[in-house]
Amino acid sequence: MSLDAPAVQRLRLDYAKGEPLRFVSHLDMMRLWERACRRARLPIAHTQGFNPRPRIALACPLPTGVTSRAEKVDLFLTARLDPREALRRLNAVLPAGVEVFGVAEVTLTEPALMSLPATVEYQARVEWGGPAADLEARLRAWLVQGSVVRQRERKGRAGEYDLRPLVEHLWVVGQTEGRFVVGMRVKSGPQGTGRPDEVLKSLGLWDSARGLERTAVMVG
Amino acid sequence: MSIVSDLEAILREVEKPGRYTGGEWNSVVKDWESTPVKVALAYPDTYEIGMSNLGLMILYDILNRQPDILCERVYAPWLDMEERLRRAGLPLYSLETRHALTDFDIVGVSLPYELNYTNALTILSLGGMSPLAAERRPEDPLVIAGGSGAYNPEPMAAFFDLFVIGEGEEALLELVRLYAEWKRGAAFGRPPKADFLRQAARLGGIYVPSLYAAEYHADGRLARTVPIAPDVPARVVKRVVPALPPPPTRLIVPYIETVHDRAMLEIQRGCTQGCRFCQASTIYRPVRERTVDEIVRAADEMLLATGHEEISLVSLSSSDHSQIEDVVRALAERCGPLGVSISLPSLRADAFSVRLAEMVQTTRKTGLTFAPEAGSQRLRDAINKKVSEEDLLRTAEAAFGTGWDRIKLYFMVGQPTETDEDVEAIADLVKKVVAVGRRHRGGRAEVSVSVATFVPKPHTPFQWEALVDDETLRRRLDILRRGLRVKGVRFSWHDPGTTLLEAALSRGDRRVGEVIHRAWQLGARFDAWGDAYRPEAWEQAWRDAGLSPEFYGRRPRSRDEALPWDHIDIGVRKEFLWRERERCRAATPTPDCREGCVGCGVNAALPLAGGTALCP
Repeated sequence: MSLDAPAVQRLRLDYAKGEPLRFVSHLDMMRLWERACRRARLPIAHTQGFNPRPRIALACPLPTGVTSRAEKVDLFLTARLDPREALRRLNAVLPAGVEVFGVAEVTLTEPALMSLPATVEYQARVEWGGPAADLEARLRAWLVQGSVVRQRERKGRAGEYDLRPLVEHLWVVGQTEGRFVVGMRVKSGPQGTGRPDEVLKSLGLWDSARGLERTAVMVG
Repeated sequence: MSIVSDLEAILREVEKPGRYTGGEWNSVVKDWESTPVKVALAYPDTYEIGMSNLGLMILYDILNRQPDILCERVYAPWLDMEERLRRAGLPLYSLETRHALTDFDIVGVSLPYELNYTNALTILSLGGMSPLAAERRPEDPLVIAGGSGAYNPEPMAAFFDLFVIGEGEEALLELVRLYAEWKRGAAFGRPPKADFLRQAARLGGIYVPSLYAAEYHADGRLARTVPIAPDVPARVVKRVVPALPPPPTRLIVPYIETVHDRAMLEIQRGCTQGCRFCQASTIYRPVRERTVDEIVRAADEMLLATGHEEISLVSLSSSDHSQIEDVVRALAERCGPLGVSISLPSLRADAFSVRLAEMVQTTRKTGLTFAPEAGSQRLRDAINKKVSEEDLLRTAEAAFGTGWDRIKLYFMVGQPTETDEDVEAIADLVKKVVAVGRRHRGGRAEVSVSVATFVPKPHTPFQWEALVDDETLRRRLDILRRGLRVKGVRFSWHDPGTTLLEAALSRGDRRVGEVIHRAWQLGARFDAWGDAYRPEAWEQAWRDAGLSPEFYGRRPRSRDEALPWDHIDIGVRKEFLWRERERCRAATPTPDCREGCVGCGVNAALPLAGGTALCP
């Protein structure tokens, strides 16, 4: 294994980030994958140059505090490996809460996961005193607004942005444990990313929202 | 009962929630119901700092290897988390199974540093019990402490049932076993905890403060500390392991970034240099090394078990390990192809160390750090820091000459016998180092100079000395500011305003416990953190107790004064420390004890037979 060897294979893994890792951030997940690949002794390729980094790439960043059933990570390898063998070796060294459930080989030249615009779905349990129809009405009322102005802090400076165009759809998924499950489909990518907690806050549903989870990522 | 309540709502509102969720790779989660003996180990600082502490990791590993014992971790909650837990009526919980501290049999608190003492009180209180040992209920856990702070246990005596003095590798397990046995007996008609404490006091290395009384002179000085129960040792001799047991290799791998986010491998314990200001130099004697084979084997296991991208060779003075070159060569061969880097902290300032640094450096040459500690040869002789100007300049020559752009130098001011001229000499020395750098690296050469205030510590040759006064300190800082206005020098002075507090807590007696308790009640937390330190809480606490920090921090002690830690025996004789103090006054260095025994007394006082200690 050499740090200079070129990548000859690219594996795309589908994985879930479960409850124990809810508060592990995107950057921390990156480190988790690097270390898991080292424990699994996978022949990970490295970037060239002054400070070689393992070539591991995650798809659209998952906000801290959110679990997911639909994460993806690309691993670039310097030696070919049976994808199922890679999956077996990784699952043996991943902490409880990360589970790889799918693996596929993709071409080395395919664009990076991060660079592609995506549509992302989330679900959360919320408390709602009234009937489902009222909750649905609240969601519809939110969607018909021309704009939803929210505050955000970027590099220590407060600013405003419009959340509305980043949200494609809101709906009631169903009822569970005496709560309603709200679903949302938002945009993610270079053109802007809709934050699920911001959507719930602007709906007035955040305080009671629990178990926020990403349920689907559709790239392209 | 495990905390099943709604933590999600709390965690999403606090800073760095990953501090409070556990579940890391290699953390050990045992079955709560079927494991009879339950120990919580607590570290009184944030998760990021506590997770970087190797001592806690060693004990966690040892306890969890026992099938009948489970050991879980607790760190001090940051201010926001403490507030939210209190508001929600939730106790502080263990990371592994989220049990309240009161659900454990034993709670062990590490005391690494005086300025996190108040956090120890937060941990106990938020854990569901009184921080005061005398006020705890019979059903509360046994609350114990250890670590370097335990070498002067008196300021914290009111908060703990007992202290483990010295190395915990054997002592803690013996103590836990004794407690488990007592608890089984207690199930049939509960003998009082005092029975257990009297037995524990005879184990060796165990200090039970409630079995000792402190007596004072009318002027406030300590007269003596004496046992008040039969069969209790007059002096508690620290525990040491004659040979270092195999190091833990299944180290917990944190998710969030910690201070030392790397694999830690202790290659040597103790230090033979004998710097007179250094507490680690005396309390961790004697020196014991691990063999090359043992180190390499442990490194292999550790890298496979953790996946860390960096391994750090932990010791007080890496360059002093007798086989360090072989160690570094063998590790570099293994780590290079894996993309793992090696860090060598605590390098001696000499050309040999630069060669070692060269061997571990792959592509980047970021910076090298050395600690000359003083600017003049006279003062270096006085504090017994064995670096000459020639050594340092040759080191700089080697470092800048082989491609490094930056050297970091550590100095201290306020040391015994120091004059303004000694401080001016720091600036002169730094200028010479910069000149070497510019010759090799031109305008890229940088020397960063980091200066700290010297704080006298117990069990050192300077334990009788006064902390430097503010006016002298300010004057010397000005000398440095003026003298170091030089291109290529970055000067940083760390003055958090807590130096006097640290000095007072470090050499405090039992009465200081009242001050700590009061300051904590008034809101003192995380005193080492600039953004949390509350000087007004401490000022009032000292006033309320009728004591002053100056009495403890700024007062020189005479040779015959009883010291609050006199009944704690580290193996190094008090006469030796006094002799070293006198040699400081005469600016006479004492050789490294690898060159010949200097007569500190450790080899006679401690059971070292059959071990690997360098002094047989």
